[in-house]
Amino acid sequence: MKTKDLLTIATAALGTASLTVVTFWAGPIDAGNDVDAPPPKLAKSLLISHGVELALAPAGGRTFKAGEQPEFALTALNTTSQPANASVCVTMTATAPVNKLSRAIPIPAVLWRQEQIVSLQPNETKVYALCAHTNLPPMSVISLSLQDLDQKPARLPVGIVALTFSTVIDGLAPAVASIR
Amino acid sequence: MLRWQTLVGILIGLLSGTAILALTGSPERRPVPSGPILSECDGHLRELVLQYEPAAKAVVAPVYHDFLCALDRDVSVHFVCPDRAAFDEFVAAVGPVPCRVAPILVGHPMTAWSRDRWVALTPPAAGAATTLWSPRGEAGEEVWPARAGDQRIGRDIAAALAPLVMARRSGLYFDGGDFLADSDTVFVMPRVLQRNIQQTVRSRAEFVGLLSRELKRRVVLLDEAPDHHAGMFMASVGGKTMLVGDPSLARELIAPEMAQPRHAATNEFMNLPGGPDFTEPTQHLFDAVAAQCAAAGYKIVRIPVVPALDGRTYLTYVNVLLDQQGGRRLVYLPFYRGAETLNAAARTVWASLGYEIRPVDCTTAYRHFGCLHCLVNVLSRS
Repeated sequence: MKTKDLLTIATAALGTASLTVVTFWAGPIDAGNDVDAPPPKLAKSLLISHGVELALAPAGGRTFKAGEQPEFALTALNTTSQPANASVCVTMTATAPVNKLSRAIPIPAVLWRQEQIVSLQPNETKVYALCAHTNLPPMSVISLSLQDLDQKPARLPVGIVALTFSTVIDGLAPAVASIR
Repeated sequence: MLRWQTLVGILIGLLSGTAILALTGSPERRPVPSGPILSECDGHLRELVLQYEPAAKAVVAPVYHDFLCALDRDVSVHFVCPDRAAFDEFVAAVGPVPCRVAPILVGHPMTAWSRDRWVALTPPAAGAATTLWSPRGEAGEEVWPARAGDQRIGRDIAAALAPLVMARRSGLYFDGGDFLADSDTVFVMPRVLQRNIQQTVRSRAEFVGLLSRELKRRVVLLDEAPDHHAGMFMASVGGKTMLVGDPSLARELIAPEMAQPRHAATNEFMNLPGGPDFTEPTQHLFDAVAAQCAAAGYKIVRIPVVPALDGRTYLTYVNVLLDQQGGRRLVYLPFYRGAETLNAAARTVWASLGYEIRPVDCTTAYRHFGCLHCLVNVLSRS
């Protein structure tokens, strides 16, 4: 073997080894002293009752502002091959930090509540329009929860938070609605 | 076309690169290892973290003064402050204290409540780092700039104390005060599941499994509890004994006219918003906590507590810091001026558990939904 052959082998080996290490070391370097990126949240919040998947979203995908009466779309999907019924309670609450020195935000106040009975044929999907006949307060965190009325509340979870958004009166920060 | 020399070189390079990665760590992104969640009742207090925000001076400075003056000299206290001026103001307000105090300056808005910002996970091995496990988000951060700033505190502390402290953000929503840990079990408040179900986890089983892996203790998820942080109504005091608040005990102790349920909404006892809440549904929640702890194998001891009708303000005697120095156990116990009968009853309970009492005046703090335990987070114990 000539010196030139050895030089070629060494150069190729050095380059390949460097590329391998640099490529696969990127992960651990990022995960060093401070791992600050949590895994993504679930794409959709679903309440499942008797095989019926229930989801809540702002009607028309719109955002809400303080003072408005929000409207929502409750989507129910029967995932079974049998007719199914479900009873769900939709509750809208609001809370805001009334005391900036306090440890926690106050207990949320209930703004609106509606019970909805859902009846579906096998694999059928229905969308129910719900209107909250109350004005949204400013500078508050608004939460919409879904509760299965057929479940005994002895063991958690008795419901889910289906939707949250905030109402901010600062013109620089418009109200934001997001599906959680 | 590649010559044989080049192919041999690439092969040697791949083998060498793999060997280097194998010797220095897996190429996959993974969290840094950590040990179990730090117990709240075992071991001697070594390092504490408190937060000081000048706007809260009247609320926290008297509490900090009593507490820091009662601490032993070998305890280190890290004070997280927005800036140097805030730390200097704190030093002037509290005066000389026997323990060691040092600032961590963060340069952003924050509140004064340290407990909820992170949970300390002990080092996985001697000489390794403590991990601060922070929630993925703070409740109300959208409308509360100081609370949004609180979200960064775990990283701030890790940056200041590296390499002995690391920060890791959880995929879960929680407040640090939603967990109560001892050397055997971590109790988890029901509201943590409610905040995460169908948001970050699909099911209760997934939630409990995730917490078990992260906290490395037996996880007991309470199904029923007051809608507040654990330290407001329960304290694990060692020896598998749980101290649980009992409104009915407090009701017997305070003035008869205030003990009547029909007067609860109008009385002015200790400026509790709406008055004391001695209603049956609230009593049931405290009793349910005791029953669930008993079912988990704990001996239950009850202590007076006065929850207010706002659901947030408590006169509580379990919001404490516990210290163990060999066979000696100490409690930094809140008291409230104007509630002397309750204070005395609480002291009796703690003394009966074998604790030496170091009183801390929390009169200025309790109306802000928290107390001593809520203001102090523990970074390490020996």
